[in-house]
Amino acid sequence: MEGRPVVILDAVRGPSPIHDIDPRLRILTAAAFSVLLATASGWTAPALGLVAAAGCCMLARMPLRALAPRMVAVNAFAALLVVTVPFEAALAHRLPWLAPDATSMLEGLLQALQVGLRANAVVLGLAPLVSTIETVTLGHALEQLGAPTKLTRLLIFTVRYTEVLHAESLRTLRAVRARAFQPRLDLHTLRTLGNLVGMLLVRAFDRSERVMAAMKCRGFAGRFPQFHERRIHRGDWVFAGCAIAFHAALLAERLW
Amino acid sequence: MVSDCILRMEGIEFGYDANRPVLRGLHLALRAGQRIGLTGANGCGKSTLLHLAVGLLRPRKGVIEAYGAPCRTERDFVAVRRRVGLLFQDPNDQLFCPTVLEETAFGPLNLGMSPEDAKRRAIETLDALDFADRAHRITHHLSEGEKHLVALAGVLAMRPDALLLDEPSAGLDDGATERIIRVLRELPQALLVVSHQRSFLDEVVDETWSMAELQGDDQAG
Repeated sequence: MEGRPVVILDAVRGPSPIHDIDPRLRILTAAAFSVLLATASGWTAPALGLVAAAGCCMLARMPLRALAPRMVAVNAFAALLVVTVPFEAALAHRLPWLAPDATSMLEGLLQALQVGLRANAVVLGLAPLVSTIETVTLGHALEQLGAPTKLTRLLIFTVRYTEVLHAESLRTLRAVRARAFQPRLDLHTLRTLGNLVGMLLVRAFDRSERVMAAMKCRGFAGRFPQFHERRIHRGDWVFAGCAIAFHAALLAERLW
Repeated sequence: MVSDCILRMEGIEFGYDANRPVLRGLHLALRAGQRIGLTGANGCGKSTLLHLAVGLLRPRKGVIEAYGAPCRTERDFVAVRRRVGLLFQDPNDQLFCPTVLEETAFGPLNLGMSPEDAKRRAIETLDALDFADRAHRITHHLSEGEKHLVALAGVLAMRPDALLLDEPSAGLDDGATERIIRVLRELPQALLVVSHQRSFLDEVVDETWSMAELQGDDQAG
């Protein structure tokens, strides 16, 4: 009966070689990759990163539908930099009423392009490594890696119940429309919308108490039991080896 | 034949996802004063049918007519919703105003009545349901049975020509069910009632169809 469910953090489904790798390992790799690339300079590291990230995407069989919105977003931002940074660089060393000089503009342009390349590499790398992890698994993995339980629990419940609350709000909206309500610019409309939001909050609070009670009835005592204990398998070692070698190479390139 | 036909659905096809239609080739007509019951398994599209009828959902194929005129746009259906009332399965979906009185006056206000008239209409309606003494109760604190009655009052206050009721007796105890039956039997409106309980339908409606019958090839609307 619900309308289209609202989807936040919907994982890209497997199976693929990347999906088989331990989520904790994927999160750590993603973190290392992002930090190393974000602080990189020059062209080699970002280019290598981009190639590696694209490789991971292919391994994870990322659908273009899932990738395209992210890449559009990051490149819109990069385009803004490419347009603005050259002028900023050109004006930094000179008085504003003089014509911008070509060399510093070119330097600024190259810098902006480097930033864009790094951003693309990071986003393209995060996609196959992190968005292939189901939310609950992500929460567990983060918890095992030492993230505060309050935050991980908040993540899990937010994802789980956003959809429920959204469905509830849709049903209530429908009920309101069924009684001939049409939004206008008047007090009646404002009062109606206020009541809708208020009631949604009251119900959400009630639901949270019911959910808590139901969880207690089933023996919840503050921590989620792990459903299946993951065993480290050969694929994990191979992936870890590749990741370490790749990041070591990035570091070596930087120090060299 | 068309003139007294409040709602007519012809060859309706609908599905929430592209590969799995919920309804296919559905025909249904509701005439003034007619009282029809609908049964069918869970998930066979009974609620969907009611939501399609007032345009909260749109069919993939087929024609929906109200009072002999085809309805296609939101604008067409806005007019339908002023004359055909839909009672939701879960009264919690419907009740959202702080008090019973405001809840009941909400529909009349949407019909363009002045606050005083809407309030009067609300009290009349509540009175007919023996609920006027609880007009200032907080809707959120009502019992399940009371919520059902208030939800019904909210729809009845608009004085619709027809009522579409989605499982009006679900989750009610015997007393509350009897009360709903009594109220529904006295209504002059055309009724389209979805229910799993045959005994309830037998009390309230004149004829009962299964969803499968409405979607059979030989069924003419």
